[in-house]
Amino acid sequence: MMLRVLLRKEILLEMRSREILVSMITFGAAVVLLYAFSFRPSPEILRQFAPGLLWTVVLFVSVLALHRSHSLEKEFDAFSLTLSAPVDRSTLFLSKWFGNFLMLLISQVILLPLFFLFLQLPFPSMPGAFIGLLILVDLGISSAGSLLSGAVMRARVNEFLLPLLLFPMVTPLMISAVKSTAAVMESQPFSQWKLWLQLIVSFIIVFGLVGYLIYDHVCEE
Amino acid sequence: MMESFYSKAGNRIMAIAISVLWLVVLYLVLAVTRIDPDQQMAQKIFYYHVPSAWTAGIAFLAVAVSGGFYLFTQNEKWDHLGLASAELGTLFCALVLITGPIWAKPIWGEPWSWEPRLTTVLIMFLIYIGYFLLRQFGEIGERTRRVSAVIGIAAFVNVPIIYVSVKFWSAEAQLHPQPGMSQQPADVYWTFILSLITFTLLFVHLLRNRLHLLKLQSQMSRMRDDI
Amino acid sequence: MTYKYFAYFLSAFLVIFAVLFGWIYSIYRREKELLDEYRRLSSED
Repeated sequence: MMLRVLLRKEILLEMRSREILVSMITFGAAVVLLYAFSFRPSPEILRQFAPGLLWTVVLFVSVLALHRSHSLEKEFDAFSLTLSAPVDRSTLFLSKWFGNFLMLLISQVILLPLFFLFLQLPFPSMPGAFIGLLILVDLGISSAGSLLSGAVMRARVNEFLLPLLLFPMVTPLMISAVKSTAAVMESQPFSQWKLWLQLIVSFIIVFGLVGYLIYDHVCEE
Repeated sequence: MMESFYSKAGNRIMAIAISVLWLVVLYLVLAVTRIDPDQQMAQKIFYYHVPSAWTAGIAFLAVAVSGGFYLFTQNEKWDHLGLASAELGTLFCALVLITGPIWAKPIWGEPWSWEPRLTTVLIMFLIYIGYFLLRQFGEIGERTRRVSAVIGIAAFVNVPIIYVSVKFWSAEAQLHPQPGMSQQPADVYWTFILSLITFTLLFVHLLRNRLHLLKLQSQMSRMRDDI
Repeated sequence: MTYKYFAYFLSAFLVIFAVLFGWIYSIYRREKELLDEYRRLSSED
């Protein structure tokens, strides 16, 4: 119940200004364009690298959303106001998590077609599996990311601390995402990439749980 | 009352004992243990490489555990333990990352390979660099201490996931030697165990040394405030 | 010591030794600085 109110707050805030989404999409498109220029002469090689490139774009873009989700709260000290509301801190974490997840997902609705269009790649032949993967990995990035962006919020140089902590922390997720996406793009049977899916799910569970249990200590003044 | 760490007799004795053990291990490694026919002297790096990794492991476990205690008790003591362990863990991590490639250069022919354990150690090393930057750039006080406890816990629960993912990611790079220690001949086995003990004692000693310094630092800052 | 790869072992050993000693020394220096300051402050009182 409380979660719905908080989530609505996150979404309303974004609908008003749209600054996160616009910057995410512009930045993502710029990165995709850079990739397209760098790999222009060899489309075959590009096909092999596609999963890795895709997830680096997603990760770069996610930093913008994750960073904004907490730095926005810092302006006008909104976070202390939110904290003074009778809300369970764990619920606050869930609202950040799902809010960031939604931002990622919405930005990808636009970025993914651009990615496949500009890099001249065929869309994966198993769209259902591909989109399922996308959703899971987005959940993973936003779980670890919400916790970490909350953690660095008050630090002086939080803009660069967040990626510094986030990138090594999500390496297992990125590895699993790249491997399973590659398998899906090559239409391999499920048994071939089951392990990677399990790793992604365990990452989500671990960071979701850790965030749910200790976000309380992160946000307290 | 403030005094130096080595003004206590117990700490001096410990330092001497560890130095002696260190020399004994060096003697055993150089003169007693057998020479591997292929790797020759390079193999002996193992007597230092593996204990370093082991020590880094305990240190990171200590960071996570003391982080948990800090969150529950808010006692500064636990934060000091967490910070000191994190620093030492990163130090020993660096030793693993340096000795690994030195060994790998003659044996694998190339200094770096994306071998699961080496990669896991590298990732942990990077995470802890972030941890120190956070402590450096966070405001001084309660909040930063709490947040670093959180990062310490998150980093540690991530280790198994990192390890498994890296392991299956570079399945072709499973070159890391995995000798079952219990099947090793006695000279190798006991030298290794002694080195492990030496490193563990060294870790505890350095940890206490660092904790002492942290205590002095917080006493000192309180004293500066008073004046 | 005419064994193969002795230089590798030696460099690994020296690096470990140097790093650990550098660490101990840096702690010692920081401790000394603090204690000096402490003595100065307490003699002023």
